[in-house]
Amino acid sequence: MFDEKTLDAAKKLQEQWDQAVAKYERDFSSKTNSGIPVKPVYTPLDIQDIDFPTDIGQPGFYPYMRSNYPLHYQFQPWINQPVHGYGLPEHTKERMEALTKAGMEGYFGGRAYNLVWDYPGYFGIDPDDPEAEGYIGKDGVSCNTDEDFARMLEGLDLSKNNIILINGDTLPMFATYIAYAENNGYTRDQLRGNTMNWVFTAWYAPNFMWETEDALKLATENIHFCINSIPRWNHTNVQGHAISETGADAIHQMGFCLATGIAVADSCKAAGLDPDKFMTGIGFQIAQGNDFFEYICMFRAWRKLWAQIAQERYGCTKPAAMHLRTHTNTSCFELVKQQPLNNIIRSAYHALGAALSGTTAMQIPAYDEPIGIPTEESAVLTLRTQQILLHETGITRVSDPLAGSYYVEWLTHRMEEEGRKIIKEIEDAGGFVKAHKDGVLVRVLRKGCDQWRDDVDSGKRIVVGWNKYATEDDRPVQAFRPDPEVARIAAERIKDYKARRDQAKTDAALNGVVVACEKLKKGEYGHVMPACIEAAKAKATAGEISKALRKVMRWGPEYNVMLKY
Amino acid sequence: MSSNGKPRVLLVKHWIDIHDRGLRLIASRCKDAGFEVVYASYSQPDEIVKMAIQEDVDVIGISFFTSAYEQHLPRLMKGLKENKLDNIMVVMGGVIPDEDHEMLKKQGVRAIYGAGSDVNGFIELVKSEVKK
Repeated sequence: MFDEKTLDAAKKLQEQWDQAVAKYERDFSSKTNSGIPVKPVYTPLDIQDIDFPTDIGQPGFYPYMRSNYPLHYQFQPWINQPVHGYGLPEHTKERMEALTKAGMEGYFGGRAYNLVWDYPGYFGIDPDDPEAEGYIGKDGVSCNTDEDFARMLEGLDLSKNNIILINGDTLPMFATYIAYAENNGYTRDQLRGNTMNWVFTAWYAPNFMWETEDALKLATENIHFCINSIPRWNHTNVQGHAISETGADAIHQMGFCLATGIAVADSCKAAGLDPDKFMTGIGFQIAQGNDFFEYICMFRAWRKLWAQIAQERYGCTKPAAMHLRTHTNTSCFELVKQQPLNNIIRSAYHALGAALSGTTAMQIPAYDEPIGIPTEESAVLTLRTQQILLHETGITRVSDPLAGSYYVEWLTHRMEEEGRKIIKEIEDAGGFVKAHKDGVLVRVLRKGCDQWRDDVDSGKRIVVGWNKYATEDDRPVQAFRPDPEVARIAAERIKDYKARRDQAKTDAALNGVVVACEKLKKGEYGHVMPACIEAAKAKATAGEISKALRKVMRWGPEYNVMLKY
Repeated sequence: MSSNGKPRVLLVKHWIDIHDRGLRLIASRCKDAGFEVVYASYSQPDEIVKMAIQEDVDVIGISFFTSAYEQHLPRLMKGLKENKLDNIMVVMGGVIPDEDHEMLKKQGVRAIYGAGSDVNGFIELVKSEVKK
């Protein structure tokens, strides 16, 4: 990247610098949060082997390290994608309207409603099930039928706005949404939005979900359905944020996500799907955390590695199939309860890092989330954080503005190496599915969690307001509480919904789901999603469709699993 | 108390209450402190009582990400009382607003360790209250 003259000069200057710092008689090198050793200064010498055209390149050109697009924020800012959802569907609608009024924007005049379900909805449990007691509408919306979708989405143009369904077992709620949309005159090719397809990423969090191989089949079924029926739908969200929240540092977040993406893509390819089609619907939800430069470099390396994987492993030819679709969800575990207003500042730095990384969508947690779910005020404040960044700081003028920094390019290159190393380690452990089943990945995460807290407790890692500059009288923050009547109303509604339907028709459609799952078990795709939609149209609830899936697809581990230490 | 004199701690969380980073940390620290730990998920609060009997525990640590304790805790405390297990120390953790602490303590919760709590405080509490 540099000529001989520059490198000779750099060597001389480095020697002078070495002499200048020798007098301190101390080692000033440090480590990033992922443990990569870092010197106090970087020069052309550190990146002399990096080749500009092939290793760095231009925004919008393979390997897309600098940006997916030739023009980025100058042409199209990132999508504001705040997660919202609580109480009954009409309560969530109020929050959707508040965010809309506050200026939430998506692409080209549309908006992205990033809707989160409550725990029961996340796992396919209806509110009239005793299993749901205590959890209805508390940390997300209780929305379980096409009628609930109507209460939440009525009046919204589903062909212009992205509807994002943050929901664990994915297919039943997605089917319910499609039933609602089709009942209201939309055709499938008009619909746009995202499903999580977390039937497999729930492997990371020690959740209770589909057993590994069946999970991959269900995820692949969703993808099969989307690329054949809903071309504009983003079917899969590889949840780096959860991996980060459960203990991964930056390099493991990236490495585990890439390995997850490979496992999904392998499954799609084995199902006979075209990589140029299925790769365009895979997105990555990326946590941007405290080590400012490390996360930026991770992001740049991640875009490049994914493009290389798409081209080299899967033979993708379309640029869109090589693009790393990114939704930033800035770090939550690094926000703390002590002096909670400090979290606003932390998140603003995380968001700045994400914008400098060239993210394409952003969600920022609210400062009061260590106390409860966000109030309207704190939710709008997360949007304001994005808007100030976008409109007041000038960072959008230039794409990938940190490129060419000796440190940033050196660290990006290191992140690439670390990413490749993790992919290889997982392959050596027998591949992603086996590594997951053997607990190899979870072990890394557990260790990461324990280490982080050990470092906080020992003071090695400083958290302002918690282990340093702590005060006795933290300003108390009032916790947001959804309406206490939510659980009763949600349960009554679903009972009433079931009482009004043609039960024989519902039962037959639910049986159709079971039959379709038996085909899926044998590796026959293309039956389960259509059967789920038919069931939703026959007024089966999302919870009932989930139960039908579970008659065939293995659910695991058992909820009453007991671990002894 | 186990036969070898180690405190026995049951750590539980409802199976759909998936934010378990804190409770896993407690499990790890309990292990480091030499306690015997049973980490389990439950579906209905009565199951916690059954596990407490079966595992002969001294302490139950229960964690909530949402205010599901409003429904679950009374059922747990009632079950313990009915089975004459009032001697088991119940502690709570998770995302628990300060204004709820008094109400929970009135129901018999010995201590509450929410976000950012001192984990060693919990370890010391167990050591001092579970007598040999």
